[in-house]
Amino acid sequence: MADIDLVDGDARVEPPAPSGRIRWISAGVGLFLVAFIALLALGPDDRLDPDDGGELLGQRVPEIAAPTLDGGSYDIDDAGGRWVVVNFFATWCVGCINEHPELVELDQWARDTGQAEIVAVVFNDPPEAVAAFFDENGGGWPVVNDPAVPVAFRVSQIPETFLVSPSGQIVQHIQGEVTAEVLIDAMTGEQ
Amino acid sequence: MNAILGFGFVALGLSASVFGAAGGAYALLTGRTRLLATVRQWVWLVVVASIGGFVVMEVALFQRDYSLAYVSQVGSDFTPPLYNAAALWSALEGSILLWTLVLGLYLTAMLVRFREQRHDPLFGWALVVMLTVTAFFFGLMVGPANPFLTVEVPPGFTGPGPNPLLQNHILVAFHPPMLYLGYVGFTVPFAFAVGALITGRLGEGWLTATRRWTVAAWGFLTAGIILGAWWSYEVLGWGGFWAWDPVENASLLPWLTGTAYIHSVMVQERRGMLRVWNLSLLCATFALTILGTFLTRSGVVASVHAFADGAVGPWLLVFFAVISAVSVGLIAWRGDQLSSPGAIDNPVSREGSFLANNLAFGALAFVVLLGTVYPLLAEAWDGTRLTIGRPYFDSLGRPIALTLLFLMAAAPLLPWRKASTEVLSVRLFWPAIAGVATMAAALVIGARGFWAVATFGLSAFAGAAALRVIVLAVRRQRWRGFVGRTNGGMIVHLGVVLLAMGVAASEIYKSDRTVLVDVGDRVVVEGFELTYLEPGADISDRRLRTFARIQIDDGAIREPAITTYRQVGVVVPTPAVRSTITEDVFLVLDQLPSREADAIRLRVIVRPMTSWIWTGGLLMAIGTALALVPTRRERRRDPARAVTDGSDDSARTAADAGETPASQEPEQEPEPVGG
Repeated sequence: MADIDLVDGDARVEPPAPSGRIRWISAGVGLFLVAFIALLALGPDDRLDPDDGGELLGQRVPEIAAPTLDGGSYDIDDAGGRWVVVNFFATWCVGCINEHPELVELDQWARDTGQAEIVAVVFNDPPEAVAAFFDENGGGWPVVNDPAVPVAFRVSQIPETFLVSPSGQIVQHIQGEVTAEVLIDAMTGEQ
Repeated sequence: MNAILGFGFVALGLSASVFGAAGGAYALLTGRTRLLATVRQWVWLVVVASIGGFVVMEVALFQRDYSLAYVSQVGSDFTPPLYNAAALWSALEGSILLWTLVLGLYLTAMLVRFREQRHDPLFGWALVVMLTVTAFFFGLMVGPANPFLTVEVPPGFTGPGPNPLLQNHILVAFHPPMLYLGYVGFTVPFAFAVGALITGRLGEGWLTATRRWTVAAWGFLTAGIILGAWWSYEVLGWGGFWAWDPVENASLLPWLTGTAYIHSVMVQERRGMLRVWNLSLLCATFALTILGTFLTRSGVVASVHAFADGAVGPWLLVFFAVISAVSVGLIAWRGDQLSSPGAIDNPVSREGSFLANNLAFGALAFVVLLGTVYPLLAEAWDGTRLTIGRPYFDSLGRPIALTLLFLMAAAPLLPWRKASTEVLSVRLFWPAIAGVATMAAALVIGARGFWAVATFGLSAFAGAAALRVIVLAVRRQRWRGFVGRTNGGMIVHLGVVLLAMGVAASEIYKSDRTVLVDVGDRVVVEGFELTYLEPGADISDRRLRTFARIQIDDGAIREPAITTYRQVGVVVPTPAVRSTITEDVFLVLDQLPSREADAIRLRVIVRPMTSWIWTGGLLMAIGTALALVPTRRERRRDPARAVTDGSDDSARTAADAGETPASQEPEQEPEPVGG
């Protein structure tokens, strides 16, 4: 609009103000907003938990200490100066089946060089199915079945793989299928 | 080094914001003008900090400085420069850096634009509000979303790069900055509104001073939303452009209230009415930008691009609560001064149509807000988990959208105050003919269904009404008939018309088929002949792209692909679109071309008139830019001075406050000479 009134409107002759009404409406809106914010704030704890959902990259690896499927036990703190590849998987997950040969290759490299180890964590899968899967497809690395571990790693969609440096820090987080090459390159510093 | 420098800038930004806001508020409350003048120095420091932090992060990304945790999370040796620059805003911490950068740019513009108002308390309070907002965002980066944390990476670490979906289309470089320019831009009018409420200078002076800022922010937000829809269409292989995803709704909500404000503010400027309503709309618009950020950044809703970092969620919710409390409290406190002189005389008038427009925008905003947060509220209330999807938004949104189209057609034809039947019948004639003719034409070429045909008819009606205003203005003022708020606004309306027709046709008449084709095969889908020429692949350090060469109608060749990003091992389909003015052919590979069989599964989506949507968006952006060009009258009376000039002891009386004779303002009230 070209012609604008540059003058504050206060000086206009105004009717007596029905101020009470605006205050009542404001109070109503305020109450509504309080209820709205309270509901959002009191929402499910797991969602608003500040620790939830953040990126683990660069942080110290969460604890993995649990019995393995073959009856032994695994503790990531025993890895002692070696790289650890933490792989979350299930036998019903197509990406996990696809990447399994790559993990077998990686496991061979890890054993040959002694620089690394793999630990697999079962994601929502019965132990019998996992055992049958390993019998069929090979692979001799420890498999732990502790539902607390995927929670600690905030795993949401498998396959997911974390690369843990010899100093215990998570340096890569791979969502989706991995290849032996990518992981070995990351560990040996080649490209 | 980058970590220390970057965090230094963030800390500087926080402390300068806090000192500036506290010092400014103290000076204003105690009337110390010399202290008030120092606020500007703090603001400049905040500007330096906001630019510095951003630049340091960009430098770190280009240096591949993986000692920064953020760079090791979104950077990679193989990301091309454009996507590497855009990687800055591809995750939570960096997006806040972008937010503070934009706040810094707006602060700079404010200091320059209002340099003569430096002693004005209203402007002083506006700066205090701006600095409070910058303090909050710098505080986020000092606290829960620090972008300059360090990390130790193994030698030879090459980085994962940004999310694959954020490194395969050029729009990624433009959509977020545009959106942020829009979001953050609404902070400025909000700051002035709070200043006006605190100082009690509640007339139209501050409105006039911030009018262009609001329109500019609205234009950026519009462009940002449409670029986002376009990105979603070109990059995500689902074949649509709007999914009623919470993050999309989060950007739409402030747009709806902002659009309502841009219209209703004209009633206040003209008639001094709707003061409480306009203040509420401005406060709501700003609060909704923060609520939207809360919804998408806190992980409370699932979304394609929620960053899902819960750490900032509670902070944003608290900030939203503070903004709500301040807004509602101030309006209630000033309630007695906010009552409006006069009332709307006749519903069939320009102001009547703006009021209806506001009701419709308000209703639409409520529908979208409810659909977005209802699942959250229900879960908080009794643990029920539910999702609200497209049918809800479509069934409630369509009638409101049609109402708005109708109002968009009627409002520019209606005079202020009261419409006479003679004026209306002259002005309505050609637009009504255009509407009816378009509906008839649509039916003849085979369009069916109430929603689509009604949209075409009302769009043409609205388009003709807008054209009428432009034509009359151009006849009288030549090129000046294209600029200024009214004429620019009508060009925005033309953009909306194209967009509405495009959305209706593209959504309602789309077809979606999946076909199995062998190399050399030819299939016909919706009248298009598609020939699968050959498969192909290209491999780089960054990605492995497997594609199928498809020829459409013996002409254009498109290459829908499936791309594996090697640093993260993520596989994404990359659609290919052949776009013409009449329809888009959208091709997606459903699965990787397999080694055993040569046949591919090809999803073919045909969407009529989809390019109209993007053309309409472009026209809306152009129209907004034209609306910002000062008209001759406005240049003579610089609105920036209005904050002070519109002082409380003005001599204006109620007699001439309401109505300006049409002759003084030719482009606003065109005489129906051509109609």
